Parts: sequence; structure tokens; C-alpha cells
Amino acid sequence: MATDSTKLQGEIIEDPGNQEMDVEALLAGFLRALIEEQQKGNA
Amino acid sequence: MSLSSRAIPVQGPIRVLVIQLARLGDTLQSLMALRAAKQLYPELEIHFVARERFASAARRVPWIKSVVTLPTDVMLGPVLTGDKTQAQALGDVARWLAPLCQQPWDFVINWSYSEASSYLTGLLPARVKLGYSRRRDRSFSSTDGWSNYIQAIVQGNHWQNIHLTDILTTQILTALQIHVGEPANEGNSPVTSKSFFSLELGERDECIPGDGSRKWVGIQLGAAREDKTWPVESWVRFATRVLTRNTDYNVVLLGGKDDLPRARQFLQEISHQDVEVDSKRIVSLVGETDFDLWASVVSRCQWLASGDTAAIHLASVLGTRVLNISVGPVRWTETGPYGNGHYVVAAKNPCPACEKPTAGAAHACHEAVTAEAAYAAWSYAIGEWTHRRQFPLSEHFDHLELAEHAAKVKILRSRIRNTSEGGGVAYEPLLQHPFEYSDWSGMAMGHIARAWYCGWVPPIGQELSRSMITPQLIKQLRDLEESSLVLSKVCEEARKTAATLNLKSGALRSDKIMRLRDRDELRDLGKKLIELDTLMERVGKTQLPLRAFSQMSKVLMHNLRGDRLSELGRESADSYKQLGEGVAILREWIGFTLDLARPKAIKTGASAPLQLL
Repeated sequence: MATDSTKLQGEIIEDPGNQEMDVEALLAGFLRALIEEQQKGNA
Repeated sequence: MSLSSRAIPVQGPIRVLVIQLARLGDTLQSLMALRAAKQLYPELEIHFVARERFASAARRVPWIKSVVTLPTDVMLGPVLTGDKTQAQALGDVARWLAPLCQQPWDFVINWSYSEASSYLTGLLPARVKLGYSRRRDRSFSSTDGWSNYIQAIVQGNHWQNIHLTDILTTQILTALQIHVGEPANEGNSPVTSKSFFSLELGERDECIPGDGSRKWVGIQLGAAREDKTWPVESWVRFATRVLTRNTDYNVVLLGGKDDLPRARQFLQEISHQDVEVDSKRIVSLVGETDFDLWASVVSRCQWLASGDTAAIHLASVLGTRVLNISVGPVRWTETGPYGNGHYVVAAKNPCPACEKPTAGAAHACHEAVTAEAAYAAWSYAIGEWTHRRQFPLSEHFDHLELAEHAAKVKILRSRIRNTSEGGGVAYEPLLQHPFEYSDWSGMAMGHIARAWYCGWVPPIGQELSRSMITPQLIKQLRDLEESSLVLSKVCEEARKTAATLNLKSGALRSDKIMRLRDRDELRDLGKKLIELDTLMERVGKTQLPLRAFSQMSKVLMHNLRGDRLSELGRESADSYKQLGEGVAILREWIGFTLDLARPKAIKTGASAPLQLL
């Protein structure tokens, strides 16, 4: 079975300096998830 | 493998940021994978993100360009105590993150495989991302094939037998090959080494007294969890045998401050045994070692005996042989000691308390793995140069008059397979033990993963032998054979349906405006796919090995990348094709195993009647 390299190449970003992400929402998600991990004792 | 166009310019260093927000053991496994990558691609400039508590190991690696620590306590402390709201703490997070966003990375590789780290990966600018991330709409994304496998199979707790270090190594090397090109170096050097770390010890270098001719067994007393911690009494009995029967060996106790009560108990109990307890033969460094001293001691031990702790990965990295006392809910095929000649001692039978954790329940695995069994394994291992494993371990148990202790354990020896066998670490049983359905399924799933993501696999059933197959396994495989045929047909029907969806939607001018008849056709195709997915899940509930495929299906469908309906149809068809190919391999394994188990007639002589094996 030949392996399709598109499965293994990861996510390619054409213009990494301009990802058009909602930075504040992602930061909030990061912080919230870290807190949940800490509270569950996973950290 | 076809190469896509390279995303990384070939000139200059290749800037790689690795995110590892899990624990120290995960960091050490990551470092082994990175070492393999750095050997093949010396132009890699590797930066590492770790939690402050677990950053020491990465800091001591000379070929890591920088280590960025996540100050979890400082960042989260005020929020947890209520001194700050989450909104107020966002500024702290943003200020910590800002330097990492100044210049786009060539690669961001998230090996934490956690929700929190997925947000971090989503935020960071990079040309290529591997691991868990976030899309523009902030939904979760698993960016590559191996990450899909980790999400669906590894974190889904399905049986599989590929070590995590091998998964990470293969993942990064494949991505580098795709985006950067073939490696300049051959890369045949081992990734483990006594000098893996540049340690700062000063005067503490002579912490283990005695001259260089004495040998040391390090004993890591505790573990992160009680259920993975071998009882102190067992360590005492093990150490007593080591010290009384091997006068050239000493014991050094290792552990953190939390293990001090265990160390005191150990020293008190061993003083009642017939062993000289003096500073020359038993040394306790429990609660006294930072990372540098701990690594130095482990590197100078001939053996490290430990439960499922970061110590086994530290010893693996440093090339110190490991006796892994594997108790508790551990998948040592995924997280066991890595390299050649390590020994794993685990309970032979499944432990009910491990399979269904109940607070306060006693673990049968702790009783099954006795100090005597551990000693027999270790004493056999240290004699390998002499006996070269010409006689079986079971005879060694008999010789020690410990045969009854062999009955409840399985003992395995690690080996790095050569390339022609598929590479990676394998654990070879040294005692006869029933080959469980889970063992068989793990082998088959590992084979399927290699077929999906490596493009080359060794022959089916290469590590199977007739003696491993029990009547119970045969019955289980016959049941599995029927259900797998159903699943195979479901996958094929789903592939065809998705392919039809791709064709029909591809013929439309727009996904949003179409004739009613077209809309109804597409809707019917979509409904059919949902029904087939439901059927796939139902089949998975009847047979555990098949549940992996329905789980993988969910992960693949969640991570489709297309924007248009026709793209989604094509990707879905590819995904069902992948699943179908996996089921086909599983069916080959079933057929091979049942055939292997079939009685075969042999002639014993010219005039003798046929005998059945």
C-alpha cells in the first residue's frame, strides 16, 4: 500500500505571518484548558 | 511515497519549535525522537517548550538551541486562588507568548497531545504544524496521520503495539523528508548515550562512594501514582537477594522528597535482613537529587529498577539497562523502556483493579509481580554474556528454586528490530504465557498503522508462532472474522457513497444554489453515510478490535480539510478507503493466524502412519 504524503505532511500554512486567527479567543482557550488540567491534577 | 512541494526553503537553519507540556517521561521520549531527527538533519535548530517543573532535562541537552518554560504556577496561581480572573490573566499569557510569535517557525510540533497545547499550536506562526492544533474557527484539529492515530487509537485506549518514541520519531522524520528532502546523513548512530546530557555537578560528582569496580543497581522507589508503585516490602526483598547473592553489586535508592518515608521504611526493613547496611553497599539519595545529579547517578548505574516512572525513560536515554517492574494500569508496549536488553516484569493475568479502577481496591498485579520473580529476571539478565540465553529463563527459575514465582508473571526483553523487520522496539517474551486476544490485536493494529503511515510493512504475522495460539484465541478470531467481513462491506459501501457524493457535488456550479433534485440526491447520500457510520459503530461494539476503526473514522471525518462539498466527498472517500484497507489487513491477520493454528499432517517415516501435529 503506497502512503499518501498528504496524510503525513501536517498542516501547511501559506502565509504564517498572517494566520487570521482570533488571538484573544485562542489565548482564552489556552488559559482555560491549562486551568482545567491543573484542577484535574494532570499537570 | 510521493513528495508534495516543499514548504521549507532549503537554505539556512530549519527552525523547529517542539511543544511538550506533558510530564518528564514524555519529555525524555521526545528528546530521543529529536535526537534521531538531529542526527539525520544537522541543520535543524530545535527550540523546546516545557513546563517549568519538567524543563531540566531539555535544558541539559547541548543540541537544543533554547528551552522556553511555561511558568504554570506563576501564570495560573492567581487565577486558582481567585486573585485574578481568567480575563485579567490573559495579559500574562500574551506577554509570555509574544517572543514565540515574533518570527514564523518552519515547524511547530506539538507532542503534548492535549487540549491546552492545541490552542498554543493554533496561535503560533509556522509554515508546517504537526500534532494537535486549532483551525481558524477555533475548532480542534489533528493535523497529520500519526496524530490521528494517537487521538483515535492510543488515547482511545485501543490495543496497539507501537512505542510512543517510535511514533514520534517516524512522524518527525517523515515530515522532514516531505518538506525538507532526503537527509544528508546516514543516521545509523544510536539515539541513546551516557553523554546525552551536559550535566552540571561540581563537587557532587562523587556522590556514589566506592571504587570504579563496584557495580550499582539504582532503585527508583516511588511512582507518580499509588497503583503504579511497587510495595516497599517487595523492593526490600529484591534488594536483599541482589546484595546477598551478588557481592559485586551495590544498591542506590532514588526518588523525590515525597519518597522519603518509603526510603526510611526500606532502610529499616532491610536492616532486619541478613545484609550489611553500610554506606558502601546501600546508599540513599532519596530527596537529595536534582535532575543533574539524578541523571549522573542513573548513567553510572549498571541497572535501573523502577515502576512506570520517568526514571525508565531517563535510563533508556542514557543507555543504562532497565528492570521495569510494570504494575498498575500501564501499557508498556507504548511507554516501556526503549532500547536493547531491557527487561519488563508484569503480571501474567489481567488485573481487575487496573481494568476497572475502584478506590481502595487491591491490585492483583502487585501481588503477582513478586520480588523473587524480579530477581530471577534480573539475575538471568546480568548473566547474558555468559549463557547467551542458550537456556530458557524458566530453567533459571527452576535453578533458583523459584519456579512458583514464574507462574504469575510474564517477563519480556526489549529489542530494536532491524530495518528489514520494520524497525522500532519490540518486547520478546522469555516465559511461556498465554497469548492474549489483546496481544494479538495489538500486533495487528501496529501492522495496520505501519501500512497506513509508513508505506512498508514486514510480512503478516512475522512475530507469531504456532505455540502462541490457544483454543480460546481461535474461537475469538472466528467470531472476529464474521464481524470483520461485515465491517469490510460497510467501509466499501461508505467509500462508494462518498465517491458518488464527490462526483455529484463536483458537477454542480455551487454548493449553495442547486436544483431541488440535486439537493435531495446529496441529502440522501449524506443520510446514507450517517447510517453507515452508525452501523460501523454498532459493529465495533460487538468486537473490541473493530471499535478502533469506528473511532478512527470519527477522527478522520472530524479532520477533513476541504471547504467545498466535492472536496469533502473526495476526502471522505479516501478516509473510508484507508479504513477498508486496514480492515483487509486485519482479515489477513485472522486468516494467517487460523491457518497457522490448523493441524498439519507430517510423515514420520516411510512406513509409519501419518501423525497429526
